[in-house]
Amino acid sequence: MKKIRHPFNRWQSVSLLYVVVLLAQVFVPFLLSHVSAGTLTSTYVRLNRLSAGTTTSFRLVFTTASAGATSVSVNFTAGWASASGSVNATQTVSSASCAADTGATALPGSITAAGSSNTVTISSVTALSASTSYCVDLTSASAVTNATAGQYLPVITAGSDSTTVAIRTVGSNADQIAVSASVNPTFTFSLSANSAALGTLTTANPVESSAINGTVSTNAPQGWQMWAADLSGTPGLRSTTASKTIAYSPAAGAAASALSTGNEGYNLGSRSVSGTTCGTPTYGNFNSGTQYSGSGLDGTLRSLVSVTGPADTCALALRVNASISATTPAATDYAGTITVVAAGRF
Amino acid sequence: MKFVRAFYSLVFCALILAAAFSPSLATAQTPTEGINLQISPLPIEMTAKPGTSTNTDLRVRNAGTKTEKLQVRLLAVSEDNNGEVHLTNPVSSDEWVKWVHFDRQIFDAPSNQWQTIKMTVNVPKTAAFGYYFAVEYLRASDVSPQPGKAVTHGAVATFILLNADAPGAKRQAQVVSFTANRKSYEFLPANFTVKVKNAGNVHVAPHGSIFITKGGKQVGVIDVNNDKGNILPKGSRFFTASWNDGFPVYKNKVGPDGHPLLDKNGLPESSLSWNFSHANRLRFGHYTAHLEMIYDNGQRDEQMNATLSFWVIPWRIIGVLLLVAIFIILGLWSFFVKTRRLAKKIRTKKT
Repeated sequence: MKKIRHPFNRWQSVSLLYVVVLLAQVFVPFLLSHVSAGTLTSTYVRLNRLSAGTTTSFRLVFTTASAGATSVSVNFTAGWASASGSVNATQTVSSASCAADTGATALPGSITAAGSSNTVTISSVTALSASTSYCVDLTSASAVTNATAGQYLPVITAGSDSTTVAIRTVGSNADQIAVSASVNPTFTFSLSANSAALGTLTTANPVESSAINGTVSTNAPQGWQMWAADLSGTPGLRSTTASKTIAYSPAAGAAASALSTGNEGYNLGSRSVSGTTCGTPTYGNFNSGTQYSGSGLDGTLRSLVSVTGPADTCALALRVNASISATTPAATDYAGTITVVAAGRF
Repeated sequence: MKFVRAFYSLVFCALILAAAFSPSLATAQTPTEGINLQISPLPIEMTAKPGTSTNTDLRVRNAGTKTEKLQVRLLAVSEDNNGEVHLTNPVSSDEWVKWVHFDRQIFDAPSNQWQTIKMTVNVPKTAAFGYYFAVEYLRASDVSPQPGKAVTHGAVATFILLNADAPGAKRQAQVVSFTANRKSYEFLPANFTVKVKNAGNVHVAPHGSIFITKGGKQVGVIDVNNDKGNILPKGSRFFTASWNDGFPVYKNKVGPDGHPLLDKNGLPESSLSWNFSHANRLRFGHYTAHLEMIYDNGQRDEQMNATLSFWVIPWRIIGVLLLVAIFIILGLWSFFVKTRRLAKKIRTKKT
């Protein structure tokens, strides 16, 4: 019988096998369909509250390595759960506003989200592009419950790409700065002028001065009141040289009425309050929309107006009116003094 | 001769020095602008046991552009039965005048700077219950009368409510009246006024709510005197509240500048506001307003109650709905009549 001679000896067989294995390692990855996991980059999770034990929404931003992902997940890991953290099963998701904030692309698609175990999964994502930055917000105020203070490493997965990020929670309410301030009650009162000129009085008609505004601003909630009095020794428009006082008409305490031509009289009139904020006014006897109309003053402070609520530059226009008769003595020194007081109510 | 010359030289030098170093004559600086003052806090409530002292800081700021010389003085305060506050000069029977002291009665107030005046009240052992006065801030010397002009002197005041905490203090308030401005309304708001009288000898601050019910079911709540305004002894005070949670509802008109528009009487103008998201608040029917207020009588809260009822009948809306209903009924009736006639015609033709 003829001996069959093997074409390869033992060493040649081993060498051949070795070469085949080497070649396989080089060429197989190219021969098989390309399914390699990439690493997400520029990725972060922003918890909107960092306080331990607090429920919060959060934002996810990431940059893909490869294309095609149709879902994104955030796995807060078992470490989160074991530190009293949790993920809410019910989630709401939106990418409407994050793009403007971050410059990333809003996560596309009719996206929905749900939580399970320690993971939030965002589904129905339109296939993502490679090397693209995306953002999305998990908007529920209770999307997650923060774990105890410490560092945690959630895993972000988008299709075949993934990465681990670091987040940190802090002690209860240590993520907030308490701000305190106080506002004192204040009351401001001003008169727009020192004096009201009456000019030359004639019997042709009464004279009305230009308005002096008494203006109030206050944050006192009870409102404010304004009074007026004539504290001169002889109330009225007095001339020392003529020894004559044009008395108030009507008398102090009477309802407003208008001066008439040719009859002596002197009074103080007010119009309606007006300003940025004026409450509800209750007027005294001096209020009238009629020209030359007003009431008289004496040494008693008489209410001009009482107004409810706070005020912001609420002004009461005051006008002094005077008229003379044919027998009113001539003099150039007729003068009057009116005191106006304002106060915030108690 | 030398002596005389020396003497006159000495006198001359003395005169020069006197002129140089003499204080400026006390001529009051004539203010050229109206007064502009800001005060804080307000009002000030003080409590002290008889025979003790209490003090507080009064703060005033000159909000004008020039330095003012100001003074403080006291005014007596009272409140009448119509809720009006009266300021009067103290009289001899106002014993509290002697108890009050200021560390500065007259002071300079540079522009835009706060000045603090310390007020001390030495309450004697014989004092008891409430004392009410105001601290008035005004110019120490104001504009003198000017020929041809009416000069105005301005002042601002802070109310002081002093309670000499003695046995026998009586805090007592009563609801004098509880009214609505109308018996019936077409649309809200319904405006309520409560008059409360202080029948005690210390000021009180009653506050509470008005509960609106319909058929026993509560449909609204509004606050009364939430800011706890005070009522002085022997005085009364009016508190107002509005129920405006309706559809439609009258609201005050506002001009383009954001300021309320006023009518010729100075009262705010209003117009109907139709917010259809509040359509379920169309009010119709008989309502009852229950007033419940409380005040502190020194030991516990005392309650005050009152009730009134009113109607809300949106007659214009009802009228429109009725008209629509009438037209629909007329239309249907006309249709049936015509249909009947037609049927009759058809039957007649067949026979």
